[in-house]
Order: sequence, then structure tokens, then C-alpha cells
Amino acid sequence: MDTWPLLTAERLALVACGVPAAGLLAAVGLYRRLPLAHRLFSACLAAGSLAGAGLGLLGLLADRPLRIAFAGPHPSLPVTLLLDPLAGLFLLLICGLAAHAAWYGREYALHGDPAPSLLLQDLTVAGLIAAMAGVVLSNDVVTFLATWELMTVATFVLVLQEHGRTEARKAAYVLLVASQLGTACIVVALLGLAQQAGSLSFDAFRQLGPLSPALRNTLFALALIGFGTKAGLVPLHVWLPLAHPVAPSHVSALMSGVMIKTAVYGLIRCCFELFRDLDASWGLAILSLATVSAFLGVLFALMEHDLKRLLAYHSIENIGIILMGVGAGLWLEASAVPVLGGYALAAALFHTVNHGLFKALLFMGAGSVICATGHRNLEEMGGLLKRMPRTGLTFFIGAMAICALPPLNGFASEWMVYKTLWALSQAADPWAQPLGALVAAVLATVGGLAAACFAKAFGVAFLGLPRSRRAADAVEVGPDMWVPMASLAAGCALLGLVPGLVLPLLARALPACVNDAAPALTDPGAFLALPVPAGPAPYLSPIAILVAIGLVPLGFHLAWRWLGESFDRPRVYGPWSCGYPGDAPAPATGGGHVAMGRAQYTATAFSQPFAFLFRQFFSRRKLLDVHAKKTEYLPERIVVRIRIRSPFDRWIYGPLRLTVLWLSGRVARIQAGSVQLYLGYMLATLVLLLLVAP
Amino acid sequence: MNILETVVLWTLHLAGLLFWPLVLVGVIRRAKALLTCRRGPPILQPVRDIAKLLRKREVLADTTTWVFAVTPWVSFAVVVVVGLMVPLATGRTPLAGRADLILLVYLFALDRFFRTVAAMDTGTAFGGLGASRESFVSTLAEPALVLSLWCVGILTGSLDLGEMVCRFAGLAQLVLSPVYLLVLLPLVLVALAENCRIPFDDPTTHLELTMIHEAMSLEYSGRGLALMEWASMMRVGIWLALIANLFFPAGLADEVLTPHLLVGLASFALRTVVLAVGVALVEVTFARLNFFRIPDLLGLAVASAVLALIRIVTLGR
Repeated sequence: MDTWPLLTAERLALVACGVPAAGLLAAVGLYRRLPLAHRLFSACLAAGSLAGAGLGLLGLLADRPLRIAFAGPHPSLPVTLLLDPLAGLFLLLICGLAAHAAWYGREYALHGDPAPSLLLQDLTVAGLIAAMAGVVLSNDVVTFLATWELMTVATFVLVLQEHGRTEARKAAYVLLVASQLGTACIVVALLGLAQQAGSLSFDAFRQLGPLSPALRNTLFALALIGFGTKAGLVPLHVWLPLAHPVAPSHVSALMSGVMIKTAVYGLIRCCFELFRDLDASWGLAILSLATVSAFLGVLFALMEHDLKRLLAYHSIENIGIILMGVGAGLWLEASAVPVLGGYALAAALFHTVNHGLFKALLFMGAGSVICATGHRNLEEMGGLLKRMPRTGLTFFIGAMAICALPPLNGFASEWMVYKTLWALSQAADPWAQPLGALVAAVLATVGGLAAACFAKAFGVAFLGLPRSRRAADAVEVGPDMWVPMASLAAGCALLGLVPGLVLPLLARALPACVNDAAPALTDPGAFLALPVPAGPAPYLSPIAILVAIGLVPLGFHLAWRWLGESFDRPRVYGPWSCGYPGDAPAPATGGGHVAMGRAQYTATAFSQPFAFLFRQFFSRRKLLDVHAKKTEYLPERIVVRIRIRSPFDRWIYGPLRLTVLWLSGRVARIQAGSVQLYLGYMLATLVLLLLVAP
Repeated sequence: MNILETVVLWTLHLAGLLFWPLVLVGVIRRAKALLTCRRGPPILQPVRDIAKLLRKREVLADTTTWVFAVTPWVSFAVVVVVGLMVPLATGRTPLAGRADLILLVYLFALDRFFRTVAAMDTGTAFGGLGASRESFVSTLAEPALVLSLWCVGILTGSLDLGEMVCRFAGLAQLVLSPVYLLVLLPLVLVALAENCRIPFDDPTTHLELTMIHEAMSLEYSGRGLALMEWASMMRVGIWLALIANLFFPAGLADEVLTPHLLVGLASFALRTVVLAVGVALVEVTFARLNFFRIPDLLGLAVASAVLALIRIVTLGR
């Protein structure tokens, strides 16, 4: 750090907080000129986020963790922050993506008719970023919970941006309830630890001796429920697909890309630092839940035709893949194979970073499409690649990355997860080897389903012919929106091709109990190749795959020339469409003649075989409305609505909601409305307390 | 490995990868014809078809984008790279030690992703139809493929394809074990499914209601069609080689520059031709399955692989 005297942590922190604050003051001054104020503040926010990312990088590279303490609201409650490599890694991810999202929001938030409350929205985005940074930096219970709650409140406000829509209000309510229940579990878990440690500081938790098994397991289960809710682990995921799509797209990118990762961060801290000597079976439990999440997440995504909700379901899938690494890591660490445990955790952290990149990219791509067409429904898009080439190309790269196709970053981290599952055979537990094989098979199926889902999403939205008038008239978005997407797409390619850029950083971020894995990850041979957990040098090199794939057409061309043959330029002609007129314009609404744009395979049709095969996993009802004036044999318009209900709604949350309402109705009876009765309650409570008190 | 050895290995491997599958597909077609009392085209007809198509001018649909144009090249290149990972006549491969099972699965997925997306790029009903069905069948084949090869990996202690083949061939006593059949069955079913063969798909049909694979390449012509067809024939060759080398390894050459190589080449040719005739036999004896019965058959493959896994974990071999 001495070599860059200007870039000290204090100065970076000052810039990270000061520039957005100054931007806010200027923006408030410019209130009359709302678009200008918004652009100015968003730019300041992006700059501040970049400084925050620099701070994260410093923390990741520093030799000693950085500690900061402020005077809190009460002398016994100081605000303590800790910037160690793990916190630094998450800070880098959060702030790096926040900078992209803020820049993207400069233009995105102005599309259509910007609401007068735009600056309030911007301020909330800033609050969300600050809260996420606070969560990963906090080093005591009170700071952690305060920032955690601030994060929830900020999300709630952002989800309510379009409060005119019932969907948004419902999503915000479900989000609030789920978050509060989750937070309640975290509060109990952390306060339980604090009571044992006699201090609210996380440092005291780390020094804590072994707890009694019953207490340890109870507290850890609560922490798992709490963080699992925020992460969207099945079956605690219900809020996620509701809330993520209704927020503005750059906020969705933040929520899916990084906000749910704060829960991964909390879980890693709990598993490997705060709780000592966890049973190996907790690793098994997390691994199983993660596998179910990955499978159901991608399955629901495949059924979804709302582009943003589809992406939200994919977040559940990817959180599952990340937690597969965490669970396997915990299992291996508890089975006294810390080298493999560390490798597993590195795979999870790698996928966390990668998912942040490609999910933010995809949500921004969805946002651009929404800007250009005004539709979120895939069936109203189509043919956008010709009209929006930059958005299309970046979305394509993001789609390939999320499907874990080589040589992009999603493949690199999923390959490491597979290696982790292979390494499970070295855990002491005899169940580990067959379970690793089965989880690998499920992961392969998940990969296949994800590829089908994104072939559907990309194919229906961007390829073929426009399916609606708005899609036919779409134009490319401005550079403020596509430049951040291009930057993220470049990141996806770079991390996939040169894993050595990030793996040494991940090795630094590994918690102390598993950092034996660091040598395998920091091996210089691992710069261009993916490392294996143990044994000989790393061998799988994505860049070599790319070069090999590139050399084949080149070799083909050379051989063809050598044979003395030539290449004719292709001729362009209409496609074969069974005689339907190829160039007929797509009608604005349904009905009329069958035009080719509407004769394409729809997203519903594409996923129909899957819907049929996996019909036990959700109740799917098709509702057919035939609108006819004279006779039903000559319909004017036919509307098909497909309603999909998740089994969790039907079997768990629906009955639960009814039970709570019923109980509330019963309990409400004691509210008789008479003052005397209420006075009586107070007297009774007082007497009871006096009797109970020692 | 010295330079001569490398050159010989690459030459032989590339020849076996690029041209032998054309012969194998010719054998399958000829055998099918003979088995159904027809004369059938000459065995080298696929070579002539590809050579003719390569010289023909391509016609691109005006609805398509760059995705459609690059897909034949991507598909061809990816299949060649996969082919360089899989042992053919020798246990050595050009990419030895750099390729494992997971890369194989995901490179096939890359190839398929481009083909499905390109099919949807045409903007016709057929493209989407083929893309959807192909995704469906191959997704269901994925768990059986990974699980059965993972079992082979557990038995051989490696996920590297070359090592898996060489060490699995060394487990001679395995032939008498149920594991052998329990792993062979899913791989055969997956090979038939991935290569769009009866009972999963009929490679000769062009009827809209039934076609899967053909619907995806319907809009290709000239050079693009040649590359797509060639790549799909190479996939057949790769799968036949994988099954032949894993389960019928007799005569597999272990080194390149030894007299064994000639034996290895002859035995590889013989074993793959026998398997090709086997594919033809399956194709003439079975009917094509109802599309929604395909999951049953692939479920059977998964169940068989799970049984193999249970057997391996509980009783060793």
C-alpha cells in the first residue's frame, strides 16, 4: 500500500461516502431539472461505488485486516467495522456491480415518464448500496442487524416504486413479511451467541469455546433459516420471484446480483468462523437443500414467460449451485479434509462472483428490452437482435455464461463445483461418494434445463420475427445502458478465460480453517487453467478450448483453399414457411390473418414438453376465453391464459396463511372495545408479572 | 512423446475423427437397407454428399442473423474438439490429460445450445419445434450420461477420458459383473438419444409432426448444411468409439509407434463397424417411440445407472 500513497483506505472511504453525498446536495439543488439532477447523482453514485470497490480490493490485498470503530448511539454499543479479505471480496463485488448498475440507471430510470419521486428512488438505491456494504463490513451484532434491516427497508421501497400495480404491492408485502421472519431467526441466533460470548462483537464469537451440541445446532438452524430466506433457498424462496421482477431493472440487477449474496456471506461467516465444530451433517443438509433449490429454481424458470421473473427464478438455481459448494465445503472441512473444503468454498465464492456478473448483465439486458418494447412478456418480443445488436450480443454472452457453457465464467466455476462433488468421495462419511454422484447428475440436468430455458428466452425474445408491433419498432438503447452491459460481458469472458485473475484473490478470502487450499489456487500454473483440488498441476484451460475451437474453422479454410476450391457469398432468400407469406407484417393484436411472426413457436410451446413431464411439480391450468359476437364457431378473439401455481404456495404457504388469519380472528375476540376490559387486562398482566418475578 | 509420434497420432486421430464417421454412417444406412430387403446407397455415399454440398452455394434465410451463420462453424469446431478428447484407435488422445468428462458434457451442451438457438433464428414454426424437442430429449439424457460415466470414473479413479478408457479396459473381471451391463445400457440409450436415432428420433423423417433433429437443420443449405451434417456424423462416430473403447476394448493400442498400432486400427475399424450394424439392427427392429414415452426410456437409463452406483458403492465391483 505504501507504493500508492494516494490510495489509502481512509481516502477511498472518504471518496466513497463523500462524492455521492455531494452529488445528492447538488441534485437537490437542481430539483427543478429532474433528469439532469438524476444523471448527476447517479454518476456520483457510480464514482463513489468505484471508490468502494477500490476499498474492497485494498482490503482483499492487505496483509492485516483493517478495523474501524465509531462511537455508537450508546457508549456500550460502538459501531465496529472489519475489512478482512472475505469482507473485501464481497465489498469489491457489491460496489463493482453497484457502479455498473448506477451508470445504467442514469438512462434507464428516465425511460417512459420519470416519476417526480425519481430522486427519492435514487437515494434509496444509494441507501441499498451503503447497507449492503455495511452488512459485509460490520463486526458486531448491532451494526450488522441495523444494516441488514436497512437493506430490507431499501428493497421494500424500491419494490414499491410502481405502487400503482397490485402486483408490486403484493410483492412488497410478501418481501417484508419474509424478510422480517428471516431476520427474527438471525436475531435469535446472533443474540444466542452473544449471550454465550458475553459480548456483542463478532471477535468475541470467534474466540468462543465449544458450545453444547443442542444449543449450537439450534442456533445454527435458526441462522440457516434466516440467511436461507434472504438467499432464496427453497422452500423459503417465495418472496424472491415476486419482488425481484417488479423493481426497476437496474435495482433488480443489484438485488439478484449482489443483495442475495450478502446472505451467502453471512452463511459462510457462520459456517466457517462464528460456529466452531459444526457437525458434518450440516454440510449434508445444506448440500441437499441447495440441490433441491437448483433443480426447482430452473424448473420454475423454464415455465416462466415474464423475462424478469424468469431471471429471478434462475437466481434461486444459482444460489443452489453456490450453496452446493458451501455445503460440500462444510462437509469436507468437518470430515477433517480442509484442503478439499477450502477448494469447495473457493468454487462457491467463484460462482458467487460469476453469478453477480452475468445475472446483473442479464437483468440489464432485460431492462433494455423493456425500455425498447415496453413488454416484459417474451411472447410480445422477437426479432430484437436485428434491431438491438449490442443488447442482443451482450445478452447472448450472459445467457451462455449462465448456462455454464465453456469457455465463459459460469463454466469455470461450475467445473470447480463438479470437482468438489468428485472430491466428496474423500469425506469420511460412506454416503458422501454416492451422494456426490447423484448431486452431479442433478447438476447436469440443471445445466440442461438452464440451456433449454435460455435457448427459449434468447430465441423467443431476440431471434426470429417480431411478435408484436412494439417489438418491430424497437430501437437500440443509448450508450449509458449498453456500455455497462458490454463491460459486464467482457468481465464474464475474462474471468472464464483467465481464472488466474480472480482465483488468487479468492484464495486470500478463504476463512482461516480452510485456507490450506490456497496453494492449489495460487499456483502460477493456474493462471490460464482451472485448478484441481489436489494432485498434479491444473490442467483444464478454457482459453486453450477457445483457441482449439477457433483453429478448426481456420484449418478448414486453409485446407479448402489448398484444395483449390473457392467460397461463394451466400444468397439471401426467404425462409421456407409452408407457403405462408414470409413478409406479411405482424398484426398489433391477435386475430385477423395468420402472419408469420405469430406463426413462430411461442415460449409456451417451447416449454410445453417440460411442463407435461414435470406436471407433478406445479399445478398448471389452462384457461380458454373465446370471445365471439354471433356464434362461438366464428370467434373474434381467443385468449389463452396459463396459470401456474407453485406447490409451496398450494401446500405450505396457502394453508399457513389461512391458519394465521383464522388464529388472528380468534385472538381478535379479546379486543372487545370496552375500556374496563382493557384495564382488567393490564391489572391481570401486572399481577401475573408480580407472581412470576422472583 | 517425440515429434514423430505426435505427428502420427494427430494425423491418425484427425483422419479417424473426420472421415471414418462418414463411412460408419454409410454402413448404418447400407445395413438398414439390406436388412429391409433394399439395395441401399453405396457405403461411401455420405462422403459424396458432403463433398457435393460443400461446393454448393449457401442460401441464407432473410430472417436470420449472425447466430444462424456462425452456428455450422461453431458446431463443427466444437465436435472436432470433443473428438480430439475421446480415444479412437489408441488409448492416447491428442488432448490427453486436458479433457475430462465434465468438459465433454458441456462442450456437447455448447454445440447443442448454438444449434437450438440457430433453429429459432429462422423465424419459422419448424425451427422452434425442433429446438424445443431437441432440448427436451437431450436434457433428459444428461443425468444418465453423467451418472453412468461417473460410475466408470469411480471404478477407474479418474474423470479424465483417456485414463478412464485405458483403466476401464484393464478391469478384465468386470465383464462378468452386473455393473458392466448396468453402465452399458444407459450409455447405449444416451448414444441413441443424442444422435437422434430410433427409438428416440428417426433420422430419415422429414414429416413435421415427427421430426426432431431434421427440423433444426431444415433451413440450412450448401456449405452450412454440409458442416451441420458432417458434425452430426462425427457425433455418431465419437459415441460409437466411446462405447467400443469402454466396453469392447479388445485390441485397443496402448502406444502409437508400435506394431500394435496396426492391430489397434484394424480392431477399431472392426469394432465400430459391428456397433454401426448394431445401430442399424436396433433401427429396423424397433419402432419410433411416442414423444412423451421418451422420458420413460431415459428414466430407465437413469435407474440403471443408479443401480450400478449402488452396486459399486456397496460391493465394490
